[in-house]
Amino acid sequence: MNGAVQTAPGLDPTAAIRAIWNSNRDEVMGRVAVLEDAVAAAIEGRLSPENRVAAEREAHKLAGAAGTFGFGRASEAARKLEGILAGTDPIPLDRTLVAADEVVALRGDLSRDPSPPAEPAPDRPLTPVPATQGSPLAGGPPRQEAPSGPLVAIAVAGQGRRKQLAAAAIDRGFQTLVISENGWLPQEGPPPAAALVDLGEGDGSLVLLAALAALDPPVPSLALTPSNAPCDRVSAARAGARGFLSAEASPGELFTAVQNLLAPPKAPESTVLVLDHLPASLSSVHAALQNAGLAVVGLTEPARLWEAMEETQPDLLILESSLPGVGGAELCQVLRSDARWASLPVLLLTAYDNAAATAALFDAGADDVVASPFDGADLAARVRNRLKRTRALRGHAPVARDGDPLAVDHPATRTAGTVAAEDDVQVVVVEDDPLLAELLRHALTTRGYRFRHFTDGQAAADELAGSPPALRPRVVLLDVGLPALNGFGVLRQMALTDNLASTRVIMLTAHSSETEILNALELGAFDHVAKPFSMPVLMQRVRRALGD
Amino acid sequence: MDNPRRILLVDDDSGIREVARTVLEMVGGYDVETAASGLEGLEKARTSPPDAIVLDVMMPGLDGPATFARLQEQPETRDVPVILLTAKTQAADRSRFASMGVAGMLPKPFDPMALCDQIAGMLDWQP
Repeated sequence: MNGAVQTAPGLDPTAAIRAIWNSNRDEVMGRVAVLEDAVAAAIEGRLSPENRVAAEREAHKLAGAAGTFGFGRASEAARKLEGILAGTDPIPLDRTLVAADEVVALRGDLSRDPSPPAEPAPDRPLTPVPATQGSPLAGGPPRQEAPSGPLVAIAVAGQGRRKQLAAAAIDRGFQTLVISENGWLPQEGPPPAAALVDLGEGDGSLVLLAALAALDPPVPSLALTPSNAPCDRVSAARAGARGFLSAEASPGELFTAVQNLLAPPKAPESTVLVLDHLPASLSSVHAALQNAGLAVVGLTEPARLWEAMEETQPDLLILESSLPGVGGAELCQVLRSDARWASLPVLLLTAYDNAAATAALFDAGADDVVASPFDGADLAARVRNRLKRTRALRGHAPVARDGDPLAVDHPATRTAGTVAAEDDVQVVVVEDDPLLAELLRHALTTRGYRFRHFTDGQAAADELAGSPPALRPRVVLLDVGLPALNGFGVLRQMALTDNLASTRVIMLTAHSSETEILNALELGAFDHVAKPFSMPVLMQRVRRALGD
Repeated sequence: MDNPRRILLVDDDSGIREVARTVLEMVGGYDVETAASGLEGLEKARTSPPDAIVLDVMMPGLDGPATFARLQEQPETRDVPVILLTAKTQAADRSRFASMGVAGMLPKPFDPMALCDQIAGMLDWQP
């Protein structure tokens, strides 16, 4: 007979593929290392063209190999990296940060056991395919045409209650996805847009809330509180619940709450003043921000800036960096020296997308720097975030400072070494991995946060856990595995010296047990983020901890 | 079995070579020869023409399309059907490959367990 024959009994190709993976793992991880180096170099603006081409090739190979071995997420990450590395134009800073996240996802996925080889990704229908206990209650057969409308995950006990909720969901144009309340999330299909999680189901519901909040982007969830059983709202809020409702609420009430949760945040009454001498460029900024619901005042003549500032009293200023005559950086410096405008958020648009030029603009006092040509949605998001944070800081700052015995009025009580600049540190990073610390430094400084870095736990505790402490940042990103004193030790010292009220601690956990994490939250940690984490998610947590 | 069909697999990634060889041998019962580069593939195809060639597109040196062109120039290999292993990112190139006269295109990553069926389907091989 020619051609195919039956597989010989006792020979399992799946096991054979697994064995091949095991013997190829080191080589594949070598490719990942090449990509990690390339991304680190790209972030620092020192990726050579040769290394870039080599890394693009490694990414391409990984995309094919990882998927074939059953690592779907790794394959997707490698494909994204290939796209980012392709070409010869400088890689924009925000793209390098995406690349950093994807490299983390790549290594993370390849570090697990391979799943059974799956269908190739391209033709996979985008219908939720819940496994084990999950089953779509609405939307017809899962493999046929997907119904439209946001997908709401429901983790609620009782089949009758679930059916009732699913019916109410359809009436309001939602799809539903029933998920287990034991922290299980479907691996396939699109993530839900929102989730309803019953807290009456014990610790599993907290794990699920945390898992939803840790997705990228985070999935907002509403916690349902049972009236007949005790439940821990504080823990639920810490785990990421965005609101609470009685478990007895009618399905109508529940989905109205979901609608409110998903409704785009109302545009704040904020005015943005834009100075750009090129009318075309000005109008594209104008359009992007107006679409985001912001009031925009445009200006093409630098000479009119002060007048326009007085007239419009803007909440944020966007300056083109290469204005004729006086540059945007100079204008920014002048603004910073004027008491009235010193705290006005300023965003600079620059055509020179390299690390040195960007650093110079930050030095001039810019809160954010955006490479031009820009993506409209990205610009709008940056502006909105900046406005939100500025409002939060204004509302937050005086409270934190009033009770501070180290306030500037009492120079005599000042601890040696506590210079004024220390008061300005917003975020402290305690992390001994130099690459991760560098990524964090980059992510924080490009978002305009003033930060300080410690590599060992004892040094950090010395500064953060005095009474009063030498350093009182708003937020501490605290690694667990640290030299000298581990992260839990640092946290404990901060708790014992009563420093967790003014400083919010986000634990960066890698192999910590659930008990350890719960103990940390119990001690007063504000939040925890598991490694490997997505940088945008972590930055979102930092923003939240800063008081948004 | 007597005289199984012979497939030459050309890919520079050793993991892909091993996986494809394993399933093509174990599941498909084919006789599989591998080559790690376009040049090696050309040489092996010329000295002992297989029944089909599976050829990766992106390889250092002689890439898939260039190897295919050379295969078309060699009288010994001109009539051997060639299946290209293409990446998803190369979707734009797919029509170009099709117009060159390849027998089929297989997107990477491929599902190892479906590989035999896909290849047999493209080549109209009966089991």
